[in-house]
Amino acid sequence: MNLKHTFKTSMVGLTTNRSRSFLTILGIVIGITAIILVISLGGGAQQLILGQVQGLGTNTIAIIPGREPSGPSDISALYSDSLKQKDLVALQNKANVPDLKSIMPTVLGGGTASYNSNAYQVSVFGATDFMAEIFDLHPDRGAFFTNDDVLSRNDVVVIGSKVAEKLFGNDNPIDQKIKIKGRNFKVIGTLPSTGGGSLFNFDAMTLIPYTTAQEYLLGIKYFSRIIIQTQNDSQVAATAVDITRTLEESHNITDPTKDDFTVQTQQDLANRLGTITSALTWFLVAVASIALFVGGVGIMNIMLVSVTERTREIGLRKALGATDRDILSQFLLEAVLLTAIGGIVGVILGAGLAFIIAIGLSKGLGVNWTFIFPWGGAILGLSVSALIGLVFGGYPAKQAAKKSPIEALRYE
Amino acid sequence: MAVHENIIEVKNLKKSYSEGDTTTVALASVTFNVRKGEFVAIMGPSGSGKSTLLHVLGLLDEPTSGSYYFNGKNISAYTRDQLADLRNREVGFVFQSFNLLPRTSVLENVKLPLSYSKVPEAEWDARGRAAVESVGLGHRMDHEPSELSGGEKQRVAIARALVNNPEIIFADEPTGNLDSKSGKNVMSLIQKLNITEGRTIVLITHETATAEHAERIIRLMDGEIESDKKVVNRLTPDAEYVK
Repeated sequence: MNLKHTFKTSMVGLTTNRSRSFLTILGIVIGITAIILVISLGGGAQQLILGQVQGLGTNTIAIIPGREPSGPSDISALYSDSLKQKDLVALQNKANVPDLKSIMPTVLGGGTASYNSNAYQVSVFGATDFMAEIFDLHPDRGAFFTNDDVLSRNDVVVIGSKVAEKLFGNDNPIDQKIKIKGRNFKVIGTLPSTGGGSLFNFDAMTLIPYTTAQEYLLGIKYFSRIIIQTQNDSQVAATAVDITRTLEESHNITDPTKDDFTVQTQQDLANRLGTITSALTWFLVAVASIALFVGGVGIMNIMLVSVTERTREIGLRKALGATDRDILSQFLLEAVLLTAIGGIVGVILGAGLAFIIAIGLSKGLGVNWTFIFPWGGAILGLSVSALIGLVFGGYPAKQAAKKSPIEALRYE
Repeated sequence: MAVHENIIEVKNLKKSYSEGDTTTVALASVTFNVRKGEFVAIMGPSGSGKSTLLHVLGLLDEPTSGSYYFNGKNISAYTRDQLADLRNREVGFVFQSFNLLPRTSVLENVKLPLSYSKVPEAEWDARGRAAVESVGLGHRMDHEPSELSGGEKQRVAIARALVNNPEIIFADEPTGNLDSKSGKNVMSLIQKLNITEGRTIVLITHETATAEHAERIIRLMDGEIESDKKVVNRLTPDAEYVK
C-alpha cells in the first residue's frame, strides 16, 4: 500500500471517532503548548534582563564587598565592609588602573522620608554625579547633584517619581525641604517613572551625594559598591585584573581565594542572569514534558483500544491482501498523525498565548517585552510529538500487525 | 509457469489447535483436489471442520501437517508477505457476515483489495466501478453499507472479491445471513461467475439447496471426508436474478 493510501486510511480511522481523537490529542496539545509558552516567555524574559543589563554599558565593572561564600560556614563572606576610602584612592591612581575612565562609590540605606505630614519609606542611594550618566537618568524637573555637592557633603536630594507623588502629590517639590531620617534635604531634582518591570527601579529612591549619606545619614566609612567604567569594552577584562591586583595589594591579600571583594563585569552579570533564566526555562520545560509523557501514554491506551475494536477490520484487510507492514504503517501513521496534529495545535496555541502575554506585559508593566517566536522550541515540539506517536503508537501497531488473519476475522 | 489442471491439491491435511493441555483436532486427514473451473460445495455439521478447511484452502490459516499445493505452488514454503500477496491476487473471499467497512462507500469497499495490489492507481476507479456494475449495484455506487439490504451487502462483497480478477473464490456460508430470496439471488450470481466466467468456486454451506448449485459436494464429518459426490440434478442460475 502506498503512503498516500495509508494516509487516507489512517485519516478515515481518526475522523470516524472525532471526539475520541480530539480528547486523545488533548494531552499532547497541553504538553506542547506549555513547552512552547515556557520557552517563548523564557526567551523574552532573558532578552529583557540582558537588554537592561547591557543598557548599563558593557564597559561597566562593579566591585562588591565580600566574596561568594565557598560553603555554608563561609556565609559571613557575603557581608563585608571591606571597601573603604583608601581603596578608592588606590583605584584612582593611574599607575594601578590605567584604563579607568570614571569611578563611583555608592552606599545604600533605607529610611523614612517626610514632608509636612506626609511620610514614605524610601531607599537611600548615595552616589556621585556620575550616577546620572551610568544609569541614563534625566531629571524631569530640576537637575542632578554635582561633583561640588559630593565634595561639600551638601544636603541635596534627587527623588524618584513615587517619592515625589507620595510626599508632594501634585505640588512641585523643587527647592522644598524634606526630612530623611530626621535630617533636612533640599530637593533639587525629580526623576521620571522608570516603570515597575524595570531591573533598576528608581521610583521609590532618593539619591543623595554618597559623602553626605556616609557622614550624616548612615554613619559608615565603607562603600556598598564601587562602580568603574573603562574607556571602551576591550579594556574591561584587563581592567578587572588591574582592579583585583590593586585591591589585593591594598588589603594585603596574597591568596586570591581569600579575597574580601568581588569584581563583576556587566558581561559576568549578563552571563549569570542568562544562565539563571535558561536553567529556570529548562526546568519548566522539564515539568511541562511530564504532561507530554502522560499524553503519550494516553495515545498508547487509545491506540490499544482502537486495535482491539478493529480486530475484525484488521482480519479483513489481511484476508484481502494487506501485509503485516501495511497494517503496521496504518496504525503507526494514525498515532503519529494524532500526535503531530496535537503538536501543531500546541505550537500555535503556545505561540499565540506567548504573544498575548508579551503584549499584556508590555502594556501592563510598561516594559519593552518582545515576543519571540521559539523556532527551536517549535521544531523541538513537533519532532518530540511525532516521536511520541512513533514510540507510544509503535507497540499497539505491532500488536495489530502480528495478528493472524483468521483469528482476527473470527474475533467477536 | 506450467499450467496446472488442479488449482487445489491437498494431501493428508491436518489441523489441530492446542490450548493448554488439550489439543483439538479440527481436520484429521483430508486429501482431495479441485480442478480449475470447478464449483465445489463443502458441507457438514458444525464442528466437522468445514470452516477450518476453507480457511486453510483460502490461505488464511496454516495446516499443522500435510501438503497443500495452491495453483501448483507449495504454500508451506511461503512467507507471511507472500501469502498476503497470493490472497490479494489469486483469491477472492465472500464471508457470511459480509465484512464491509462501515462508513465507507460501496465503491471504496470494492476498491479496498486494489490498494494492497500492484495495480496502478489510475485503474482502481474503473476496475472498482466495473466490479460494482457486474453485480448489478451500479446505482448504489456511493451508498454506505448501512444503507443497503443484506443481499446487496453480499453482492458488494462479491464485487470486492472479483475486483482483482482472482481465479478462485472462497465463499463461507454466503447465504447464511440472508433471507431465502436474497440467498437465491446471491447464489445465482456466484453460479454465474462459475458458469459464464469459468471461475473456480469453493463454498461451504449447511443448506443442501445452496450446495446443489455446485457440481460436486464434499461432506465432512469429524475432520474427515465422509463423501465426495457429483451433484446429479444441479440447480441452474435463477434467470430472474441474473442479468
